[in-house]
Amino acid sequence: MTSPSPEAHLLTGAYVLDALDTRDRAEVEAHLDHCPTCAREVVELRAVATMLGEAVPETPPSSLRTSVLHEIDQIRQLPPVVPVVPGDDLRQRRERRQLKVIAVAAAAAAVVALVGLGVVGAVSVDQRNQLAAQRARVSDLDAVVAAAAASSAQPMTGGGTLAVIPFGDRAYVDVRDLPPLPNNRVYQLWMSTPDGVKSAAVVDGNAGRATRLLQLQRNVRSVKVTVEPAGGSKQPTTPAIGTATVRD
Amino acid sequence: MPRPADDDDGRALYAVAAPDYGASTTSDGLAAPEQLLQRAGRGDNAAFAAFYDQLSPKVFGLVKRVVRDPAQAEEVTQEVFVEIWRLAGRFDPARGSAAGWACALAHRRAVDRVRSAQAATDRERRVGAVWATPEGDAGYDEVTEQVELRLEYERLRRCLGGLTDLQRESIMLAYYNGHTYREVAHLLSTPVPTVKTRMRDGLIRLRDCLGVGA
Repeated sequence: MTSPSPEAHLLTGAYVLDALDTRDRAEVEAHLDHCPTCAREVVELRAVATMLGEAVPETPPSSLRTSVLHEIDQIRQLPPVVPVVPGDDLRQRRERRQLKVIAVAAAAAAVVALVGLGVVGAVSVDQRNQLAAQRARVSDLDAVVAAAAASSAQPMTGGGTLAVIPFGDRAYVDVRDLPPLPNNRVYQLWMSTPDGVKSAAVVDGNAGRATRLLQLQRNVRSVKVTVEPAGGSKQPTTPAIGTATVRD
Repeated sequence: MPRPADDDDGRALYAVAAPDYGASTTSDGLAAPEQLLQRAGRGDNAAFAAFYDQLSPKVFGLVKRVVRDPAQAEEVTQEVFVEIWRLAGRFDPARGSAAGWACALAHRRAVDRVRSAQAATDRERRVGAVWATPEGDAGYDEVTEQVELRLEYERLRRCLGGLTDLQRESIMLAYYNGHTYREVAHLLSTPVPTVKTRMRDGLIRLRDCLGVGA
């Protein structure tokens, strides 16, 4: 969605009111990344929504305070998102230094090419360019996969979304916005076949989001998510909170 | 591989264009919620408790307005505050007020809760199709229901009064009742594109009337 989309632009109002379904929401969010005007409008309209939100206060029962403060004692906080300042990153600096070393080496190698020592340096520069191109490509593909997953995400009972993208004999699974679970509970993914259900993965109850690549046997019909005791279960012990069909 | 987990947590939820945080306390001498949240982000439980005391009426009131059921409202409010605790280290006061952030998180959680409950009800209804009640004007009453705003929100009430009926009802049904714009269109017997547009131009008119965010 790199081109301006009047459709997405008109949805800023519905977006800040949370009046979009999961698919529309993902489309608008993808659009906002490329449309500073829309992003600014969202900030402004969100301020209006906040005023609507603040206008209906009600004091909660005092027992709620106790439960909240008790629960946070057991919840690990997420680390801050540390911005990467270009040029201020150790790894980048190291890579640039290596590039320089390699360039010097390549020049030196060219000089002594007649003696047959130049190959190593020259190939390294070439390989490095290839690597950079590959990295850029992987990062593009990540964005494509994330957008595809967002657009096929469906809400799960109790919160969070489930997206399953089958391809060939594998499936990419993306569960996100998972509500944190008590310490003795985890999320578990299952592959469901006509002959029964098989565990596919266990996801930490506080992970918030997880992605998995599953190898699908021929008879897998759907991917399911349940909440299980810590460590996971051999078979589901609770009803599925989300189900995505892989093939009919 | 896909982007790392949690990478979009909370970032989309910043609410208000950066206000001035030059003063570290509010007019009544309390520590500003932004400051409390930053301290909470460094693991300070007492700061988080003070933050809870300041903002829980707003969060609980909003959540209860959307989900209605008091027990569920408590559950969702608890989820919201636990989420705020988890994400506190990522709060950036330069990008918006703490109250705006908390309200946006709370509203989204509340809406998710009513929608997944609705999805479960719909599934049950499909399974027990013989018991199904005819679809149609269910929910029409809520259109006429007024949100009662207290005195200190007189300005907001006045600005809401300056909207067209369709703008106001579209915004209220979506925000306070948790409906999607398609559902709102159905409830108001109005074409979907019209409702989309009215939500946006209604909010723009409110923004200009309230003088926020610009």
